Amino acid sequence: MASKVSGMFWTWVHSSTGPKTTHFWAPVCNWFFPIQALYDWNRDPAKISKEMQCVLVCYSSLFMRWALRISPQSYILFCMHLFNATLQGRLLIRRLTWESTQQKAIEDKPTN
Amino acid sequence: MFGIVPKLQQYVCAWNFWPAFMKRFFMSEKGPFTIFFWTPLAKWGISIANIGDMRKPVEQVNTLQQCVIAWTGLLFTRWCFIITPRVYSLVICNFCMAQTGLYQLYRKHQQGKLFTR
Repeated sequence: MASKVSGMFWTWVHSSTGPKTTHFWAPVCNWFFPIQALYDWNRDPAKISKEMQCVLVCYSSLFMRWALRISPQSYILFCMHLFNATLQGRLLIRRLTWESTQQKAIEDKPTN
Repeated sequence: MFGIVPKLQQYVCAWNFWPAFMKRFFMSEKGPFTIFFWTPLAKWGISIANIGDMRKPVEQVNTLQQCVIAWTGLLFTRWCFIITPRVYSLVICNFCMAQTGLYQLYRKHQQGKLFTR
């Protein structure tokens, strides 16, 4: 049993879509996008780029659909873009909320 | 999902003033009524947003995000050469994405703020 599993593992390692090829690492590195958004969970809203966050949310939303329309369908890619759209959207909302509180603070500031 | 886009496609293609090549474009399997048309544009959006962010102060540039953009761009540039069919527009798109990411990181490095959040 152990040798069968070991055999399957090494077959996968040496395969044309295994970890020795770009076919494997390109989708893996896509996961760094949501991981980056998790790392920046408490990022200062003043340092969040609204435009980049909008683009990343749109990018992931479109690629969620794309992952299900390609052949073969890629559910892992779909999940990755789902997480990314949600997490980058959270950073976008964080920034927009901060901007609205800044605007409100300016408006409420008593004029001398 | 709800059949809205095919209905919209039929409605638009039914207009008589479109020339034949426009109708072929609208009806094609990679045309503007399919997702395959819009996804490369979304990837270009990342490069365009990065170019727009170049005029912002470097404190607003997210080092980790730019690292991910640069690394993903470079790896997907290589990936585009090994898949079939080879789509050169996607190669250029991913390459530009990587270049803008690397330039943003260079800007941060120039001001000594590469490792500050």
